[in-house]
Amino acid sequence: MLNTGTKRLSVAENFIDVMMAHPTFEKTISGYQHNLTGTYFAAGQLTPDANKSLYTPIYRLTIKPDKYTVVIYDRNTFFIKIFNLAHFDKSRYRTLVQALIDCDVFIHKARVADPTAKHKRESMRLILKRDFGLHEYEWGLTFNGEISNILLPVIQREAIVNIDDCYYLNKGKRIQCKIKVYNVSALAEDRRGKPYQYIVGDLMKFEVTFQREFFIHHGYATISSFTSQIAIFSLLLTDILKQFNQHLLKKLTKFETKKLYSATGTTKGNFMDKLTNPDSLQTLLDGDLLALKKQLNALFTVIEAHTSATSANTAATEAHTIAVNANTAALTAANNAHFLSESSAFVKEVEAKTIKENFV
Amino acid sequence: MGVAELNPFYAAILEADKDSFIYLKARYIDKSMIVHADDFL
Repeated sequence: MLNTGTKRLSVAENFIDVMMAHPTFEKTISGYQHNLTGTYFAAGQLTPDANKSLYTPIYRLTIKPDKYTVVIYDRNTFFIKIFNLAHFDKSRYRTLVQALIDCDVFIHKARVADPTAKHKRESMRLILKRDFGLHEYEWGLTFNGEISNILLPVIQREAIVNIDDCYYLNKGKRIQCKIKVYNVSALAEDRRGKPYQYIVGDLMKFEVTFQREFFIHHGYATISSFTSQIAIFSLLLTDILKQFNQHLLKKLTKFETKKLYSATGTTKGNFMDKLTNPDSLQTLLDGDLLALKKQLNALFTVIEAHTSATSANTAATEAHTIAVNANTAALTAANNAHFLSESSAFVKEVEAKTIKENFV
Repeated sequence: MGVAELNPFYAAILEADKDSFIYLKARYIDKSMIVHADDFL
């Protein structure tokens, strides 16, 4: 066990056994380590004619705690892959947290003696926020047939690398976003085994993969802000469109640009405007505003009810005070009258006594 | 929910936009272990 003083993610002592016992457990070779030098080579880096007996294969272990989550252990690092974000209207993390508790790989220590399910969830939520960071985020846009037909020659012409019929529009070790475009129809199951070719009507998919380098330089992109798919889209909209513009739109010839505007019913002036100011965000904003207004109105109603109750209370208190004051005054008057009458009787009695004594 | 379902302009140019995923990476873990083939023997 490592002990360097740094706060680390606690994993179960026998986490490999726990993963292997999981019904969805799978292992694949992710790379090879040279037996003498210890140098690591990713699976694809080792040439087919390399002497495999000189290397030890390194395994990547995966389990699927639920159908949207994959937990991966590879070369001393844990990864969590979260799929199908569009499936969730609200934050994805609520179900993810439960899936991670259920898989028993990560140790979550609730700070109470007898933790409830809520304590455990809170503990795992904090682990996610504290011990994990965003590593990659992939966003895919599949263009319709007409737009795909316009963009295909641009992609084929501008691609820097073509790997397995996927066109990469940029490359570099420290790039913040990886741009990949491919014919998603040609890779579909019903065309498997047939020659890879473009047929009119095929759909092109534009994928932007935000890399770790991006998250290092953009502080606003955090686990806490990556909730629902729409929320992430709103957050990264400018960055997504920057990539789209830089790697695709700017590469179009005048003729291709004209065709794109015509197909989308836009002009040079408003194409990017429509992309950068989508109604969806306005709709979201309107929705949020409406919800806020509703909350505010409810708050006003509560305040109003409270104010009138307070006013009624004040009026009642005032009336009570007046009544008490009147009572006090009446009592004082009665007391005074009684005292005066008593005093006067006493004075008279004393006077009578004095007169009588004087006579005697 | 995808943006194409909310915005008419995106709906006009896109067929789908729902296929996204997040990869999280643990910063540090408190065990150090690399799984070799021998671990499965």
